[in-house]
Amino acid sequence: MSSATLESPAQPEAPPPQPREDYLNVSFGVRSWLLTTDHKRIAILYLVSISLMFFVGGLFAILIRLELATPKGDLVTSDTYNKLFTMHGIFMLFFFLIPSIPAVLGNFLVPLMIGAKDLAFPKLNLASWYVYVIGALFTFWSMLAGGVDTGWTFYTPYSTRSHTFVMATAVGVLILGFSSILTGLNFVVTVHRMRAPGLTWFRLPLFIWSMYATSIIFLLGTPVITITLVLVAVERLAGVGIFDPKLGGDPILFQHLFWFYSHPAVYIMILPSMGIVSELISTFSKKPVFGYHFVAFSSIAIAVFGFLVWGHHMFVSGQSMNAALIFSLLSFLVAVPSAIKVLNWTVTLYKGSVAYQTPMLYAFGFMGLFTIGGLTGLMLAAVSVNVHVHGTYFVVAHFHYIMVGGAIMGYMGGLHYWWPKITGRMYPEGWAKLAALIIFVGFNLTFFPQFALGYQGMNRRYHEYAPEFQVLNVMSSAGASILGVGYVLPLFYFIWSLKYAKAAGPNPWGATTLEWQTPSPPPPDNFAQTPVVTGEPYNYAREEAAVGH
Amino acid sequence: MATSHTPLAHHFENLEQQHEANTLGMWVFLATEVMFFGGLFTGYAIYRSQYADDFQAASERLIVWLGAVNTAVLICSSLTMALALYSARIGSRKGLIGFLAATMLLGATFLGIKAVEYYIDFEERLIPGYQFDMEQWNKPGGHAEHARDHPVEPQHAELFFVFYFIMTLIHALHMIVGLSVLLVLLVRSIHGRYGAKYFTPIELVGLYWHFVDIIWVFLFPLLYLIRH
Amino acid sequence: MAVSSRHVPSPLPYFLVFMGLLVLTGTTVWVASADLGRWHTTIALTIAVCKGALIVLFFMHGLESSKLTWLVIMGSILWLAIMLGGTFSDYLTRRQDEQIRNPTAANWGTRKTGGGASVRLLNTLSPPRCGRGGSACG
Repeated sequence: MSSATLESPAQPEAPPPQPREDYLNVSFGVRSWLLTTDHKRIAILYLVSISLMFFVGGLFAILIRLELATPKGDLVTSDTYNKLFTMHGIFMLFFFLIPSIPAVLGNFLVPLMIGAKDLAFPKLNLASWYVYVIGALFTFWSMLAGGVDTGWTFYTPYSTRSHTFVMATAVGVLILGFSSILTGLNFVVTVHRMRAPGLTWFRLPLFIWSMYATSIIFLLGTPVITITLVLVAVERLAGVGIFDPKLGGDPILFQHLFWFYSHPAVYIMILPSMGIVSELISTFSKKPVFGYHFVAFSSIAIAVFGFLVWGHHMFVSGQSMNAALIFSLLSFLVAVPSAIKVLNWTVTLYKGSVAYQTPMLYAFGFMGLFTIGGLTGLMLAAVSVNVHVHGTYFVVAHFHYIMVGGAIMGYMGGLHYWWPKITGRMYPEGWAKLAALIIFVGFNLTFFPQFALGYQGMNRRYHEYAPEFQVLNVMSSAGASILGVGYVLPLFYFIWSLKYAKAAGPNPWGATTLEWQTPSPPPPDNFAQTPVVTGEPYNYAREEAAVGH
Repeated sequence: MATSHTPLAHHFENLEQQHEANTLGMWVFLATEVMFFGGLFTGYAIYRSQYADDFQAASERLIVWLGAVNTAVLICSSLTMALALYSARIGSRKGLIGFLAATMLLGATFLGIKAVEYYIDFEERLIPGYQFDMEQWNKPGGHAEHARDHPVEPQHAELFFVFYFIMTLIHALHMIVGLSVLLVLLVRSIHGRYGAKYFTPIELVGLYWHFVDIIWVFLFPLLYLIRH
Repeated sequence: MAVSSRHVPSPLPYFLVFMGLLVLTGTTVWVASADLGRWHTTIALTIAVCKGALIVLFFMHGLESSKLTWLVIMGSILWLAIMLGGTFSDYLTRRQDEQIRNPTAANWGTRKTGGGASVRLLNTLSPPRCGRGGSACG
């Protein structure tokens, strides 16, 4: 695939230690990290920040599940509980899920996968991290000062009247939006203008297609939530009634503007994960992804169609019936490209030489759990079902299957897969498999009962519930504690691996994409000389011939 | 005058790739701005379609000729901005400096006229939330008497002014950012940083400036010229 | 690439476009004082689109720009249309909901008859329920 290979890939033994310059040891000191413009270092900065956010969001989840272990609201007051689920949503969605794969793996891999030295705008890349941090600080401040209780959805008129720290949080989120926009801008321009010679669009790895599609959503969706939050802020500050019916405004207009971004936002969360799964399925079955063109176009289709369905969050809000039906139909259609992807991944496995290392376990987990999440999404897209389960735990279960069972599984798979490339070290496979298993069991125990709970009518966002729901809730809370253990384990063994694990070679998995044709960790400029691409990606036959297998 | 300062960033292969990446970046950024202002236009359009008469009554309080003059001022500034880029491309340092300065002067004029308009609105108690006078709309001798079948709903008139102020203020904010960047470019032009070989920043700021002009081109009729 | 480094065309088009923009501005102000009823908004927006097009094509060098640039321009316009269209699809079809729920002489009329516009909007925003004066009491 590359005619500029530095070392022969897929060596059976790790190379002998040699003082080679890589992006980690090229310079030391806090300034060299905080003022870096190297996309790889910026990815690490993001990795640290979003991991912190993940555990903050997880802390709120623990408190929620503790409260819900008993039917009565005895752990916290209802007002506090409102703050718990609000902060859980805000930290998990805006500060973890939305940036996670793009800002960590995307930043690290996009230039490497296309044979470039860096992203198109390295300084903007660093700026995006600082903007992220500032947004996070605003939200942290609001949390410490007492939090927000409006739900992450900020519905008006409550959000314009609530006496909690809505302004600080809204400002934090809208600042974070700028970080997303900068990242998306960087990726789009980079993929258009900085591909290596010979790297045509249909020779790009599918991860790049996913990052490109995600960037379209970043760019076209995020500005709308920015301006919407500005309007909420103005309403609070000036006491005017943009969305407040008492003062002549329309709360449904807020919902239209809010969901115009927030629905595509969920595709921001899932598309990068799908891109990772494409890479994992291919590498760990030693086969090109079946129907490459279909998968590539499906990524774009999801990004585009994802903008047409936002009204399905508003079936019971007062939206007109005609609009509801149009949005419902479009929501059915948006499931098609996702289904195409799952089909193609499955077919890829057929007659492949399947290996079961940890990244592949996460890919399998993704495929199963995302399918469940997606099917329940179709159920929710039907207006007739939706009016009954809206506002219940059915919805909560659905989106956690997609976001945790889908997106986070993909992220974990990707983190394990590319860990040797990022750090030059291999994670401990035994512990990693154990953690993956614990996560899978814990996740299903937490969220599967919630489908039943929702279907039976348990409301979401309530800190107490009818006693007949307790058994399933206890199961769910037990599952959450298992899930928590599963997520904490990687924190320990990844950090352990930095010092104690054996060094990894340039291509421990025998993969074919460009990032594996350079040492681990990569040198500051990624490649000793610009690679030239002469063939399709995922060409394992050629790869094996090259190393004489 | 050609300049010796032709910075090629190390991650680009050549100046042409850098130039293409930079211009694509600016166009993509402008696309995000379309969606940003678009949210405001959407909200405004929805309310105007629902409260058409009240919005018209409110809009009649704006001074059309001031808005028209401002439109002309911005169009002039777009011309001078285009001529600034032209001067850079033919290597005329004096032209570049002159036209950049003219663009800035015209932009500042726009903001000055806008400030005058805001002051007049303040005097007429039209600032929403703070001192919006609800009673003035339906008083005898008030503003509802101009050939209208039914009274004006003051809350809706206030809503018009909410959007008027937010949209024009955010537009003005974009102008201020543009003026600041133009100042930096002006100083650098005086130092001879730009010329026929390298004029990308002028081009990029020009794109931004023209876009801000386009936003005003839509704001003016939508806000000042409501007639049904 | 938007602007070629080699051939610098004459600035004459800029001046012509400038005059055109001023003429269109004057036109839109003049048209607003004429009595065109329901056509005012359409005409005003059409003129604005023409002005915007002139600026994009000439001042922003759209005519010389790459297909990719045009994809970005068209994409942003399309996305704005999606946002406007989707949101309006709700508001413009609310009368049907009201007509279905409470068919009366009033809501089959034009916009200017019946109760105030805001009353009707409120009724569609908060569908009539028991105890709120609506007819949907079971």
